[in-house]
Amino acid sequence: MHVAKQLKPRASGVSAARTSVIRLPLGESDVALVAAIRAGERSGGSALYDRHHTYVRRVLMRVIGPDGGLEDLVQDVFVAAIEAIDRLQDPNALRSWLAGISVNLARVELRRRSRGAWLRFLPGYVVPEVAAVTSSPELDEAVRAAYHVMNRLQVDERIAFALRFIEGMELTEVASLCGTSLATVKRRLASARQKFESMAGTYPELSSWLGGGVS
Amino acid sequence: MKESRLEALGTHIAAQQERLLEHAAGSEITRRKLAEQVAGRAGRAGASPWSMSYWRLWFPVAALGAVALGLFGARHVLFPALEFRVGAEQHLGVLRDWVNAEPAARLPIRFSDGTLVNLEPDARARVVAVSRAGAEVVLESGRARFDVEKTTRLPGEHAWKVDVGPFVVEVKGTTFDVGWEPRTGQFALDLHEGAVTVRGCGRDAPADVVAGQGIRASCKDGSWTFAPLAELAALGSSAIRDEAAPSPAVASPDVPGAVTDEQPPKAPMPSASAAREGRTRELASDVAGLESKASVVAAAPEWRELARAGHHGRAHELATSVGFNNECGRWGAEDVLLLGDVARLSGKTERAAQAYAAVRSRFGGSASAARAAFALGRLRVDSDRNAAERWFQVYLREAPRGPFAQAAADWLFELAVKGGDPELQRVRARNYLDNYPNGTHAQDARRVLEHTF
Repeated sequence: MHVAKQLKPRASGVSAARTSVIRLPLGESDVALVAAIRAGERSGGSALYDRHHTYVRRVLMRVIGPDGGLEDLVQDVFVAAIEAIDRLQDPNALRSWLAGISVNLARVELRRRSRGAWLRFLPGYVVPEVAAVTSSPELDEAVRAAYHVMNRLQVDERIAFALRFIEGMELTEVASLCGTSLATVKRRLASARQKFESMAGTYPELSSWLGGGVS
Repeated sequence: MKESRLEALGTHIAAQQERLLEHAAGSEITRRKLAEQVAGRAGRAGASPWSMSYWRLWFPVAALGAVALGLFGARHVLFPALEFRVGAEQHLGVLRDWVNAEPAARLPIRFSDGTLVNLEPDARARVVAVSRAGAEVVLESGRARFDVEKTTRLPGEHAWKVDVGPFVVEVKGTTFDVGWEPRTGQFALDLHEGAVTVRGCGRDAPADVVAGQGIRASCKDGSWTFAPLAELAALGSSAIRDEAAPSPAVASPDVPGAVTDEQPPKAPMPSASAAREGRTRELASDVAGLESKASVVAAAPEWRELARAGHHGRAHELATSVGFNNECGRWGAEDVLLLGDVARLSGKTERAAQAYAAVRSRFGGSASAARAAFALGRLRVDSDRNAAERWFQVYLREAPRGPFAQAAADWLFELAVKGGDPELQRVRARNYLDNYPNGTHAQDARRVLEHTF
């Protein structure tokens, strides 16, 4: 599951370079990092995390939203990556490989939450309350509303929607990360977009962004 | 609706999230877990296990390995390795996990062969290996009493071993007290029964110690003092005890018939008889104290289990629901540190800072306070470089050989590089190479020095 080019955070007015501590030119490429992990060098695990945790967190946040429990998922991504490191064919593609794992785990998490939501309608079940995905006070109403709407999309449609419109990926990149064809991604995006536009009409917070009248 | 409008909304969402990401510090716990995970997969690396060439090459080796493993496994089934349990609740111990005694309580570690290791208040240790006949215990700081059961060893089996800073104590069946103060580099051992061998810290020949003898040694000046226990007790020095630590004044939640240390012993290693006398006195005066200290011996915080299972978000919610401030003031140092980690990993930076500050305030001078300083440094790395540097320096002052000392040095060097001050970079590079010539940033530190001279 590789993408053709390195993924970059969307230009957003907030410099990506400001989002993490500067990484020193350690003289070690991702190739060397992968080799270190495969050789069982303890420092490889922490170096992998140091180098890529912000990126992994970003991908997860795009798809799931700024959930307070994101750190658990970040950890799961790295644990899964280390377990599967022997299956990484091109160590140069480590970053996008991690993004693929992130998307897969985000999908599992969203489906788990979706099942939890159904259980809440059944009598006699007590389901632990999942933190609202947009509970951070730093976020404005439009962001909260957008994730409310996204919560109502199908999981695969939501992932494609988030990667395309929030992370700003090319369609080919989205297809690669989702492990599906370009045509399938286009279908999912078209469906997600139609549903999003339809449901967004009930959220005044989104009207200024989407032109007031939504169909 | 035009796609450009959706893209504009997406850009807005991304910008808001970037602000959150700016404050998202990495998790030290996760870093360590991943390092352990990678170390654990050592030996499993190599060529694809499914290729034919792989099998042709390795099948004979694998077959022999399987036989050896079978024999090894049979031996382990017949003679299982020791298990150990921690605390009064006797939680099953986990290899390589750090355990800390509360600032005012002893913490017992009980092994399945009957061996008992009692960590004194504020001591920190971990069991790093177990076999059928022994274990290896690392005492990072503080004091501990070892009552080691004598066991007959099979060929190849390791005896009991205690790593105490740069010293190694090799044990058979014996009872001894051992202490280590990393800040001053001082080591102490009082042997009550049996015999041990002590190595380390520039001493080439191992030192044999017999019952009734003790050692006081210092790595800083290379001194070793061997003397009868009575003479050492008369010295009354404070070689081991951390003077800055708050005086323990509460009952132990972990030791049945808990004892109190209302008056911390002045001698670092009281003799066995003195210790017995002291405990008798403490037990007699402890009954009333136990009632008034009920809050301290209350059940463990409920959020702790969630946190330890990695459910930081839910743990934080639970801690908040019962009063975050109260929790910071209620529990022991390790739990409040954990609470800080829970808040940090949930994205609640200021809450995390509050918990770490509580540890610094309540347990000043302890190993936990030093760890809180490191955590505060990590917390501020992205938002306030100067503050982060100060905290890392505090950590290195308080725990120059602590478990995060190299990480603190790494960060100080990184922050100097980020700051762009060439002189500071040179200073930090020199310091780094002095302390960690093979460290993560050693190569970069050399580059800094090469480019500036």
